[in-house]
Amino acid sequence: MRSYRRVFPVLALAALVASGCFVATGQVLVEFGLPSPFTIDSSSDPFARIFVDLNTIPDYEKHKDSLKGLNDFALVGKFTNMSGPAGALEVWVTAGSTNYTTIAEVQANATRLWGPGAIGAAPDVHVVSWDESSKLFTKAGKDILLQEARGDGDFTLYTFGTAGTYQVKVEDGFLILVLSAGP
Amino acid sequence: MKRLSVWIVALAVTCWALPAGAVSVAVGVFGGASIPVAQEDNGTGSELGIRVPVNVIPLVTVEPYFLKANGGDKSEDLGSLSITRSGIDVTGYGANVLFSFGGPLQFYPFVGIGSHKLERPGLDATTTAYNAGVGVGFKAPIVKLSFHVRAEMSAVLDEGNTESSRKWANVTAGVSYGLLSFPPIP
Repeated sequence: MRSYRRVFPVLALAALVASGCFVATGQVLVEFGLPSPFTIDSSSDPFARIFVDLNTIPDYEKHKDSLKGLNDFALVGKFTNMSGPAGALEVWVTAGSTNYTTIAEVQANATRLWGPGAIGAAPDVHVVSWDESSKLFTKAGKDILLQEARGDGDFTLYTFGTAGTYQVKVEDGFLILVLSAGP
Repeated sequence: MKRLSVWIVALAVTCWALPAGAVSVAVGVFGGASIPVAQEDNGTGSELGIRVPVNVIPLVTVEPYFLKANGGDKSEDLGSLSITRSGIDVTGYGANVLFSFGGPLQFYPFVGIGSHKLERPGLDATTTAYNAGVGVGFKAPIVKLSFHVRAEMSAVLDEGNTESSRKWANVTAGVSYGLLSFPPIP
């Protein structure tokens, strides 16, 4: 009887040690608000450049030194097609602060992070949900986000349309990150 | 590879306890609440499953299990929008080892390992789960039924990341029926 009483805590302890104390981690929700509203217009302002500094988010600041991973991502918001045909939006990312001036430059130097997220012909209004959005992230883009979240938390997003002609307004846009953090 | 290792551990645990005398086998069902622990993107759900307790020596029971859990949705207000994330559904199998104390009313701590699949839009991952908890069981006299209540912590490793896990506190009730006993009780 006495030996069995010893077996249980020893097994539990061995499992914890073998797994590197993963048990103490938790999932923390971090939201970064995009400028609201912003509009991308193929004729005058074909893409939006958004500098993201995660250090401005208190929950990120609190946990950034104990990050273990990135569990989930989403880019949500209300997308309104002001004029033009049905099309799609894409979001590209670069590490750090960059300042590309054309879509061609962005596509040549940045990494596609999210999309294409479809939107109907004007005047379609589409609220991009968390579930819908989380399926549109690319592996390469996620890797950059994880690297930046574990680094200085500073990166740049570029948003533009894929149709030849577009004018899309984005309201209440948020980048959602679920961080895995622990001691 | 992970699935293989789960089966190897389950088999090893079973073999470790096998060189004993009497063996009894039962089958049981269980259900209850599955409560995410420190998961800000997942809600409370329900869990159902079956288990096959194999009592190999007086104080040790090896118990393969299969479970399905439906995670609860999680909502978040962002600006003027209310955004909902679907809960994580879990399908898993594995084996627990129970260390029982007592008579008809039993108290038993347990530990176990399994392979659990986590699913929701944008998530489809199968990885290793570690279980630990305590249970209380009551064996009804004459009929081959026993009733159980358990509190369990289940930690499921993140896919490709051994430093991080998702955890659930599962509170379940179940009933088991004794199927076989070797040697048969006269």
